[in-house]
Amino acid sequence: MTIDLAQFHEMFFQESAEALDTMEQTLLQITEGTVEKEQIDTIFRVAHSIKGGSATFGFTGIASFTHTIETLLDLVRTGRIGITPNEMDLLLRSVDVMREMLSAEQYKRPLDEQAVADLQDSVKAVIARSSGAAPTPVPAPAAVEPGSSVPVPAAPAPAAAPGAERWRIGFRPGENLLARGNDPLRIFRELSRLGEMSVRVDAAGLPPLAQLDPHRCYLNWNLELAGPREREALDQVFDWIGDDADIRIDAPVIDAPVTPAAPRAEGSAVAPKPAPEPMPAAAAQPAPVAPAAVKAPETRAAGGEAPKAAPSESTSIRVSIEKIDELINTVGELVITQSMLSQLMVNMDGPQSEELRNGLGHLERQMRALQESVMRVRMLPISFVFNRFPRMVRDLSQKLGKKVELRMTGEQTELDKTVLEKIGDPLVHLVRNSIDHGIETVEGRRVVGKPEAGTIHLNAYHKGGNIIVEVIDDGAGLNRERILAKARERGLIGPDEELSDDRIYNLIFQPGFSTAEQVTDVSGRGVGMDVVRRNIMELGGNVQIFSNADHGSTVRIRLPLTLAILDGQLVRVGREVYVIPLVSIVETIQIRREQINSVAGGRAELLRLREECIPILRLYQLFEVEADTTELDDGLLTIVESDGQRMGIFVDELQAQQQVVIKSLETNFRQLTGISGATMLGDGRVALILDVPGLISLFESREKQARDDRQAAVRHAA
Amino acid sequence: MTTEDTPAAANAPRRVVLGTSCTIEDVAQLRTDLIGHLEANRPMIIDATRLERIDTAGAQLLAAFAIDCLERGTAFAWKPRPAALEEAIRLLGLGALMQSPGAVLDIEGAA
Amino acid sequence: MQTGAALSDNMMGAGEFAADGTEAGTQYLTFICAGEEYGIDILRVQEIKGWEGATHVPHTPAYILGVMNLRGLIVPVIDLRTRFDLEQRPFNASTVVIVVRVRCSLAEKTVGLVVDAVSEVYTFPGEAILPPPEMGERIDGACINGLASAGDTMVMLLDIDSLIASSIEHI
Repeated sequence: MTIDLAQFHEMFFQESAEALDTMEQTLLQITEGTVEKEQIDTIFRVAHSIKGGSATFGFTGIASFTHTIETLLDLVRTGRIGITPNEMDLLLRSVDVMREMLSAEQYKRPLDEQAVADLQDSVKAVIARSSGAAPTPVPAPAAVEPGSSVPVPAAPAPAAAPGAERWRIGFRPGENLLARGNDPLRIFRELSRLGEMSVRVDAAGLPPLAQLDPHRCYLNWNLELAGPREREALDQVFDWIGDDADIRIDAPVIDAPVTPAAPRAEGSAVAPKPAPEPMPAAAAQPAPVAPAAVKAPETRAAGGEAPKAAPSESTSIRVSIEKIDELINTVGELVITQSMLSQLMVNMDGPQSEELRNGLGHLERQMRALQESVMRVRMLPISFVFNRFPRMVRDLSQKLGKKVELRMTGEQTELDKTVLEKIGDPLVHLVRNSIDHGIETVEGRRVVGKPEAGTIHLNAYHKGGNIIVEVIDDGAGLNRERILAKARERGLIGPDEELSDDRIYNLIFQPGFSTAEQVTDVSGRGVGMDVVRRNIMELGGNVQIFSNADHGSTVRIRLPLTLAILDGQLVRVGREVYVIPLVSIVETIQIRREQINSVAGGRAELLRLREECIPILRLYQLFEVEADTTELDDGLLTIVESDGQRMGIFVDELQAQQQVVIKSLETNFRQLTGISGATMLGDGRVALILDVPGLISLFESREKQARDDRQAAVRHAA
Repeated sequence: MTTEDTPAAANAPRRVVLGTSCTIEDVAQLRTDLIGHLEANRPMIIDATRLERIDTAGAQLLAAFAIDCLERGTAFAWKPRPAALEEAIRLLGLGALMQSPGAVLDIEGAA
Repeated sequence: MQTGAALSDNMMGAGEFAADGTEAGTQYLTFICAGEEYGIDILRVQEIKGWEGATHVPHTPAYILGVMNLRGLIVPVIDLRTRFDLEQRPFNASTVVIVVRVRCSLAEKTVGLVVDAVSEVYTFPGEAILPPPEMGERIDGACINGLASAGDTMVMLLDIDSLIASSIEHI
């Protein structure tokens, strides 16, 4: 009979985290002195919802803290105080503290109670100053200070004129309302503050104790509220309920002329506003109508993990990622079955074979469309990641005493949720690096005649089947000579080896490569660009850096749109079939013996192709399988490229190009270098998918090993 | 919730003592306890004086309990109800349902 | 109560037996590998299928035969004879793959084990199981949970989790 409240805690934590992100972003959008009503409303709503939820779940510390913040915000909202840098700082720190408190509850971690109390005191001090010695204007909820609000207080601020409109509210809870932390008691308490309220309960559905699920709400209510002129005020109270309850708000009867809205903070609101138009439509609407002031919701993938910034947007639903993945898997299986059928058809004759073939052709196209739309469900805009940067850039530049402006473009570019989650850390690292090492100090910039404030530009766009994310700064650029010196010192390149600038710059992605002259607090602590590159490569992407001395540098990350399907080229080696990602393939050629240079005593082979020398990887050798041929001019060479490096993979035969569903080898087995996963072929067999960057490094390390062995043998012989 | 049951006569009133919290976290256990009390088929004195926190789930459970008592003809009476409970009853409009015929007792140690 | 009596030739009969509840203990599926009989907790056995080949995976030990497609899952296949350093023999019609579910690296994994043939289902009460043999036996002692006698043969009960973990984690 009992339900696991923990899952609802989980939901509360997740929603609160998202809400705090919204709060932070909104705070950062506020330019000094001018607070838009919608901004403060958004922020207020977040604090309010977190307070309510945490009180419900018994996180009294959080409830108490957010209550204080709410009080401060209320003062801002009603125009009694403005947001100066001091308040801004307090509020941003409060966001951090709330995050800390929430994760302390979530992960049962210790919390710096003193820091919380200190900040709370600072906020209280601001409140006290602005409201004189008067008590805080927002009455404390009973959950925080039990029993303190016995008489239902009339609305403190927008008191209703006698004979004013009475809103009629029908409230029909859904099954999960209570368990999700939406407590009608709390909601009614809020409502009662807006004006005189009468409550009628309908308990007809309440079963006897023996049949009662105590976590489910069986009661329905009809409320009448003499009260707020703005429907928005009501909607705010019902915020966060989403579709856990059916809420009907019937327009009040107007029997008094409407007076202009008074509070200054409502500046932008149109007043006098006729009382909300009678809304027959509202009756049919399960969710409260979005407050008009909430900024237009960002476009987002339907069903994705949307933020709760605009919770009333009933056109999207929250679906667990497992369900989506299940769907994607099933569609993946369908694709395999379909391609199996197509394969069977190839050799089929008979009167109806042509029709069957046509039908299968349709099926194939429809399958592809289906697969695409299913994959899109997992796609989310990259703004989910970008949004953390305004705060980070602000904090970091302050700390380093630099001036940095952040520009973001292409935030709506969508990519797979898993890619999205994993790209955050590398991007943070890159942006940190740019601020720390790229952007010069104010003086430094003045000397070279640049504007005092440096710019970091985050840019995202689609290109081909990939998403490109760029971190561009207008700082000093990379120091070519220092990188070169360091690379020689580390033995990454030979003492006389000459490299193109691009190759030199990309050396910074080598393991253990850090040229920061001093280890700073911000970056240069050993976790280097190699980790960034590795993370990106694990996602099947790559990263490149371009630099221009004194003009800045650009890091360009290329990522696959999704991790679940891939355009592949099937190649055969003996009895084995492998998939090479099409994006890595430059071309496939037949070669002639005279194009081959043997070096290192015949152990290494190079293909002379136009101006280049390309190492040849005999796949059968590396993978220890039996091939049809070991003669290079009998087979084919598929030229692949990764990170500007090319290699020729020697195979027996080229087969079809097709989209394959990527299956992890790790799920039941383990990760293997040079192999990024596996897929099912039309005949049900498993084919391994080659990981080109991994293959190149595997090949190189084997070659190096062989070289070392030979040298050792030579020394030994001598 | 604890029960200070008197081993006395079968018809002696049972004293049902609620703890400080009667919220969604507590309702599952509380429901079991209350069913136990109902099944004893004896008059009840409900002591909620220590109650500090209550939410809709808690109030709904108490209302269901009160209705069950009425339907079974089990007499029950409240000890003075604390502010938090009164507020919840009023805001949720449960006053009529939660009013016991025996009204509110004002005697300490009625059990 | 006679311990370890052969109960059924049909291992699918195992479920029926358990439902009878006539004996308390753990049920083991046993199989033959190079003349020896081994047992696995039957609850770990997902299914038994004929050998249909596997896709070779490079740079893995010889006992990893490759990966196979199990209704859309990529599942590694381990040759138990090779894993136990037993004499090789060509696969034939009775060669079967026992698909087991194990806990390994904090995750549940599905793995296929190639054995010579499936043998019996036995129920061994806890007290009928003897401690595992000393180290230095033919098989790595860590992977044997215990021994139990079934009639006149000795069944080696495998600790399937550590057997699989040691087979795929450190390669």
